[in-house]
Amino acid sequence: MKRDVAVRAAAYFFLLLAAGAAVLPFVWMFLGSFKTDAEILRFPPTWLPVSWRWENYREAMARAPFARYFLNSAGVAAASVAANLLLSSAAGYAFARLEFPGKRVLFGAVLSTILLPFYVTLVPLFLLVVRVPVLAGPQGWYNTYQGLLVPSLGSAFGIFFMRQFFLTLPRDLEDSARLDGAGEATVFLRVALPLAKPALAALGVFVFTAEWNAYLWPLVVTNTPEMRTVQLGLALFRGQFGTDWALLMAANVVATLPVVVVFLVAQRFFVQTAAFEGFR
Amino acid sequence: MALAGARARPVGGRGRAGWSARRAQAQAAYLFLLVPLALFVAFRFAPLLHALWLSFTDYSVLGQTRWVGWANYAEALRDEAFRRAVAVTVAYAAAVVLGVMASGLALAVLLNGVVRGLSWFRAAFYLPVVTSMVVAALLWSWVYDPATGLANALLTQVGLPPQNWLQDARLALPALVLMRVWKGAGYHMVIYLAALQTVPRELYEAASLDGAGPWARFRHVTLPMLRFALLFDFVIATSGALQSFEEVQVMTRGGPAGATTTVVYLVYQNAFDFLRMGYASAQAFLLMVLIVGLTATGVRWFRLQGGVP
Repeated sequence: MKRDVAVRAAAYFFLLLAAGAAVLPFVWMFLGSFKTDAEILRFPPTWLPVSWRWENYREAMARAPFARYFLNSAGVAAASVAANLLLSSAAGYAFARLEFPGKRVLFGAVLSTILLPFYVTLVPLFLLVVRVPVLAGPQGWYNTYQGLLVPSLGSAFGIFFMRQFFLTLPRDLEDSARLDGAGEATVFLRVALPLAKPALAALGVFVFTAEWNAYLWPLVVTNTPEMRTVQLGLALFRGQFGTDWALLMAANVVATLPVVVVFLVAQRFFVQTAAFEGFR
Repeated sequence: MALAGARARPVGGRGRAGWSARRAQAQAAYLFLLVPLALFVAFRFAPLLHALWLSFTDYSVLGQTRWVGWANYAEALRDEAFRRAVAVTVAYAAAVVLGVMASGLALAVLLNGVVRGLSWFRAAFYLPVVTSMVVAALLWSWVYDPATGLANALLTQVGLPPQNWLQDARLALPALVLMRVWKGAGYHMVIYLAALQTVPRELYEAASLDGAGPWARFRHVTLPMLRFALLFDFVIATSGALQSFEEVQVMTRGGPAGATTTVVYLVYQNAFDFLRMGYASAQAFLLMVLIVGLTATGVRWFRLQGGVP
């Protein structure tokens, strides 16, 4: 068994090496966010900042309206999570549990778009948003929160995910509630939904991360600083201030904190949705 | 005894009572589905059909729109820029898929035998996954910065000449591949780890008793048991990598000299920089055909290799 010990030691060695490679760029980013310009320009570069320049964070936040970007991202992500949990659980439950004419066709339509790449509908979605003038003036929902929310409201992923979850629940509780005279709405709200808390949490974490990290759509559908999201603000910050790496890394660190916190608190939910993530 | 009567009624059974229960269920279903499906049709299904229509027109926001038949598709197939973007995208995707599948599998296999620190390792590998592509791209832009970046610092430390990375037409694409493998490996690891945990321990024990070493156990137990996970991961990784956009837009803007212009980046440029939305839609559909074709070919290859279900 000496050989097994050696194999295990080698496994740990390579894992540590790989973990180092995974984390090293973050360490570089974090330490860099405290360096002075002079130190950034030094070659070969230093790892630990010679002096920790906390003002980088204040300056980075002051150079662009990051507070506003954060508020926008948080608001859009929160609205998207709420809408997705509500709508996906209702639709997913109907597809998993209720019998009705047209079920197969409707679910087939939802399922058929699940692997549909987002970029294919990018142009029509943009045109749609620009032209909801009936409701919203000459520019439609262009450069508005409603416009930012549009793609996530049409997503088929949540419906599919919740359906798969409801299929795994035992039917007995629902059936006995029906026999007790409960209506379908009551069965869903009082019996099925409380049992779906873990799935709802997983979906919520998933939608939040996707929305917080989104870039292409906000890039296309907003055009003023007041409507920008964090990711868009970061990318534009680079364009405006070029290679001011220390400030950029400070902004990067701040923009990454929310998802890292959510990840560390709700790690197991990330693992649960991972297998589904490819269907986004 | 209304309650007793209700209890005696089989749900969904025959007769008047069963019929009205079924009707109540259908009504509830339509009520539950009304808003979600309306939004789905408006923001996903209809846009898909609209995109298809656009691809046969010369739509450009301004001016009259004409039906042009297959002209956009024909133009794309002749267009040097598009053909180059297809070549770049396929090369990029091939390298990324190979990279993330190999590294994800290796990490999962190593991690599967680990007793201590599993959750720490998993968290470390997953950290790049939860980070946004924009943050990752900005971070790696600095890593690749020729004057102040980490990449050149490491190169010079081991005595190699510094490189221009993203400004070098030969190195820009490999540099993006490396970034993307770093970012994606943890995600693919989680998929393989989940699959590995369903492999019965006895199989390994039996193989060990037969004198199989670590490599033989991997080759003859692990790989066959992971057939389905590998296939699934291949489809996910391929379709994802063929749609690369964000890292290109943030790190290289498609350059230098088109060396990193992917198809989606070209679609984005045609649609929003040149306002050729009909043409962009045709390119988008051609990429979709490519995605379906390449994943289907891959799936076929997997089947021939090892009898995937």
